[in-house]
Amino acid sequence: MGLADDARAFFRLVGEKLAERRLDPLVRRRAAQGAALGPFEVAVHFPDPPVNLYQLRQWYAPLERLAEQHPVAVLVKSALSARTILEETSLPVVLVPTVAELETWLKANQTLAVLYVNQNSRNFTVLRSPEPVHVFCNHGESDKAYMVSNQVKAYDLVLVAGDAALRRLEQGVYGVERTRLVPVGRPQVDVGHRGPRLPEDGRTVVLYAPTWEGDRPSNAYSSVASHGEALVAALVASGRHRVIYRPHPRTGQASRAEARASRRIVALLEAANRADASAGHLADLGPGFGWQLGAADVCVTDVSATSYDWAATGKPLLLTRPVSPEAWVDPEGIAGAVPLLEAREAGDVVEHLDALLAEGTGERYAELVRDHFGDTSPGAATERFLAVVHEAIEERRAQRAERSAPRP
Amino acid sequence: MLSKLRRLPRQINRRLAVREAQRAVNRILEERGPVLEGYAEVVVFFPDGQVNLYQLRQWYEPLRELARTHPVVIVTRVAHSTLAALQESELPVVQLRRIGDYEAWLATQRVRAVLYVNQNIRNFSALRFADPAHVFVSHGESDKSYMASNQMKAYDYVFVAGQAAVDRLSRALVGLDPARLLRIGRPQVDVAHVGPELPDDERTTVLYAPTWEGDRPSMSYSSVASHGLELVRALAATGRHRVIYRPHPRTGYVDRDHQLADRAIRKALAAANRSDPGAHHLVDTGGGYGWQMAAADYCVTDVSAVAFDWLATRKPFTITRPVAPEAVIDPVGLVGSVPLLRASEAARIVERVDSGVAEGIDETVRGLVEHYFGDTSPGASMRRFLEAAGLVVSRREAELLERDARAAVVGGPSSEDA
Repeated sequence: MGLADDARAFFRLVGEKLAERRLDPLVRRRAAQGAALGPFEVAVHFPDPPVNLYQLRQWYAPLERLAEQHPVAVLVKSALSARTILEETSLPVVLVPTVAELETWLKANQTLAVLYVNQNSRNFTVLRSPEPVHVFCNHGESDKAYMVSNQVKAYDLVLVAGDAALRRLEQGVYGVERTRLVPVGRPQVDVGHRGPRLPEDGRTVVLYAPTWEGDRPSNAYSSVASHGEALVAALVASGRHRVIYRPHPRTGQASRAEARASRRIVALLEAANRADASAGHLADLGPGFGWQLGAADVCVTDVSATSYDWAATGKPLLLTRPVSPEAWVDPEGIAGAVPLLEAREAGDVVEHLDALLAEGTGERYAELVRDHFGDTSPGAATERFLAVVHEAIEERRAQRAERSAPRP
Repeated sequence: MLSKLRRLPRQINRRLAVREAQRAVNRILEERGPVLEGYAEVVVFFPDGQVNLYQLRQWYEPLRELARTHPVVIVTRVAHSTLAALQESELPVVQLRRIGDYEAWLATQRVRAVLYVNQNIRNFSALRFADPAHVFVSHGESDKSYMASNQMKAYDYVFVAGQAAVDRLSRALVGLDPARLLRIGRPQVDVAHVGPELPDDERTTVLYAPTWEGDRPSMSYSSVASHGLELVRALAATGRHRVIYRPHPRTGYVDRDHQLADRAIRKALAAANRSDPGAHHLVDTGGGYGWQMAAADYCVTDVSAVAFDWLATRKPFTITRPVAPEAVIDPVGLVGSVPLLRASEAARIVERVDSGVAEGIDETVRGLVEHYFGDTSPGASMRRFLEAAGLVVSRREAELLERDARAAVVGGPSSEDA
């Protein structure tokens, strides 16, 4: 990180702050309208800036279903995030810039459950209150070290995808109470999605959806700079493939090299489309995730939550091996059930994909899907999610009634 | 905008002070050299600035004891705290600014336990790491709501003072496993502190340690303006008592009456010393806290944390009744269980001190001591702390060994990743 990076980060911050100020009154008014609908039994705590909205976005559909049973509000710190959430979902949004306002709000609403979609430090302050039941909803399921964070102990309930996640937490996090971990599958991907229409012309549709570079060596799983260009160049050169390039929304935030590589990949796709208008490659930087799972025939991704999102489709999968030696690859996880593409083989990706499509990904992979997601039939995960949160809410309601009842 | 400009010189000064502290830190660290790989068994995670240093300071002695068997390293974040810890604690200190730096440093060690003295929001990032056991040790015992935070659940163990804390947490929190609460008493006060030398005579030493006036009516517990002067004069007049007056450092910050009363008390003690140099009354405004507990025979204080610290000494005391009607008095707990001294009776403190010293604490107070701190005989609390910390360290060591053994099997040649 040089001085130039610092300066850039500084100006970005100032820009965000200014935008935040301009927005504030407008969003505040709309948020106040939503807040007037309370009291809310469920609060979703989202103190993050817009860059992390993808973590919340995938929960919109399950939360909207939950709101049919128990009133749900999204508690947001940033006006910028609030504006986008208000545009994207019917859920009421409440702006709580300070922790004091948040605590007052929770008290006034007698909120029974607080849901968290990430491990923001601010969660720790909200966790102070013993009143609501605190529920951690993982935003993904993967082998990342993030998924075995010891922080899960701080919550009353941790929603995990399946048996695999249970085992991982029990082995990686000493003394975690088994009863607090509840498998629900992936309600976030258990919804129908609309997406752009792709031509049906026999091209093999390849979803290349790498993760971002991470903020620590142990979190550096991204293939954008190590594999990306060679891989995409080979695919566009074949004339038989259509690439959907979907970088992680944070790609390039922590590394200039990564940002540049991502731009060059987009340029490669644009050039290929110019050369052959029917190629229809797509640089997919839009917010919606889900339709890609239906549209693509095969997926190349990194050790990340996306590999598991894809695994739920059962379609062939190729993973990249991270070049950072600190990025831990669990041989017991998905990386052990599917082939791993080395950085130096990135140019040979076409042969690898041909072999996979011809031979399938095998029983080991199918077993892994069962182990990770349980019943993946449509609607099953959503029902489990609703049932678990409902039960937690009712249990807390009963505990509260018992405590406030006059003692004999 | 203008107010921001006005603050600028102060900000610049502060930056310069930080730089200077950092330079001093760097010099000391260079002299001492880095902490060796694999040295630390126990880490104290202290990301706070100067204001909260007192929370760390009170642990120095227990940590030094612990370090004899389990090497302890203090991890800090800011320059001033690093410098203070380096100069005061005799323990190795590592300054790590970002959580990534901490992660990288942890990878060079085999830390079995991380201790936290407060609920800094940065603890949450440090709690991410699953290898060490995470232990909340706090920095005091009282009936405040702080002592019943739901955040306790985030730690593997919570070291609490005694049964009162166990009851308090079980009442307030749903689903906290009581096996994670280990009772250790107050090892921070179970140590020999070095203080000023007082004459070894027949005088009864009375610690008067009032709190400050607070910034809200509901927090106005201070007796400085209501009881202080009369109380101190009465004690000084007997010729049989020695007063250690230790006002809270913030006394007089927001209220002029308290400021004046504080000055009057100091003057009264100075006058008493002039008329009888053997009296040796003391106005104690130093940074050291702890020696007063050992030096004094009796304590007069307000509804405050000092009352709890003193309670652990098993010596007699009086708590004043605040005059502000808004000041909340918890009917249960320590304050609700002992007779409080009204402002109108301030001069009668002499009788209380004399009978208290003659008779010792009564059965009610003995029950309270037991309830809050368990066994408070000298060394007992320190022993329990060392045992509890040792237990946590050895349990985690066993778990790490078991994991290593498992990894050795998984990573063996037969299942090597192709």
